[in-house]
Amino acid sequence: MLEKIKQDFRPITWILIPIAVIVNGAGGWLITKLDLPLYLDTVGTIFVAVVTGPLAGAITGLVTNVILGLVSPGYAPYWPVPVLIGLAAGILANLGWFKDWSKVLLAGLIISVVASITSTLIAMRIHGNADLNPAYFLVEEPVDKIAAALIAFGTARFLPKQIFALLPRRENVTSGER
Amino acid sequence: MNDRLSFYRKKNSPIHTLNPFTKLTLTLALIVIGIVGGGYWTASLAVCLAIAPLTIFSKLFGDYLRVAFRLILPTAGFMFVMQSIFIPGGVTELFRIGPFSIEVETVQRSYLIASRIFLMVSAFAFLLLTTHPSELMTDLTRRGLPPQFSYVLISTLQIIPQMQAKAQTIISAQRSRGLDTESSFMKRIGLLVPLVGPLVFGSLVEVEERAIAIEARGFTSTRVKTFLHDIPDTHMDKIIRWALLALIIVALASKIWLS
Repeated sequence: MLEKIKQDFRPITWILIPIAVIVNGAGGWLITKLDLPLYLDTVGTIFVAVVTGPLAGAITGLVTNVILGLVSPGYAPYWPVPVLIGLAAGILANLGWFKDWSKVLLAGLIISVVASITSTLIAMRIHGNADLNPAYFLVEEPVDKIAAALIAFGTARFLPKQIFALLPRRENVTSGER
Repeated sequence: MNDRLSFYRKKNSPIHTLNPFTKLTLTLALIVIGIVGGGYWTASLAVCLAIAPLTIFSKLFGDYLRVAFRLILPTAGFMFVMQSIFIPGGVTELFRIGPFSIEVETVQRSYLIASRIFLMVSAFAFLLLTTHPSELMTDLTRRGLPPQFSYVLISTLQIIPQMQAKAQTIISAQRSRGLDTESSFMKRIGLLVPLVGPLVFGSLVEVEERAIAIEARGFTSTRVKTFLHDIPDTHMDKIIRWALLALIIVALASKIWLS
């Protein structure tokens, strides 16, 4: 187990984590300009989780949250959400859910369930109540996480070969032909 | 964003010359004492009697006040108001707003939580204001923190300003090519491609550049690394750290035995 985790943390993993954090932050900021019901601040987290394992994904989520928390402390208490998103995406990928487009849709849906439950629980603890807005659970979260999962999967599939060859878990996104 | 995130302010004060690890211990000690230490006013007192004088002493009181009013007070204040209104369980009613009754007990509890959060963020703000992040990381690496961790933390801290610059470049470039962010909903969904595409592919180029840079600097080398800058660690630092450790233990012990 420990040996397997060590295998996931090659130099490429440490390079990908900070870049994924930028993609999370810049993506989240870009999307606010379009006024769509999306956040897209987990693309990097899901990408790292899929190609380098759940633990690296969780670290990416945590670092993103700490950085966003420095800009606006309101984010800080929600740190378990991106961590769990990273873990969930990584575990799903290890189970083979990131091998083709149709499965990625389902994986995104599962990730959105994890994310919405966790963030609601935290909101309840902080504010003492939670506005259970059905549009958030049924539309916003699933659409956002499915879009993020698809972008992450697409990126992994169309990665230049010389980078792809360095990834510790490249078998997570290939269905045999590469 | 740029000037708000490079928190560190260079000043000529005794606090600035302390070893970064000492300041980290000080920050953690303040947080532990404020949260674990028994009394109701401990966290509030720690802010007034420890953090405020320390920031004055390091000639950064103005900067600290700015951070406190812009960032910490709004968050802690918002939590205080929300919790006071919505958490039930109080007995003595203070007053009513519409259907919500505000009870003395909930207000007290909310104040306790808000003051602890205020202390926690203040302590970290003090650390970031007086300590250059790369100095702290160099010192921690010298003490045995895996260099990979310091690489991730430092490079993310350094690239935060780049993050917004990157987003800004993409959006300006696409606007100059006629990107219309106020069109219909379906059209705006189509705009995801020209916005997210350059972000992702630009980042991939960066992965390659960094891979080469990191290899050129011997990141994977297993030999013992030397440091370019020597960070002083005086006897005074050691004494302060041991004293702080003793304080933390006293706070923990008082919590266990007195409650």
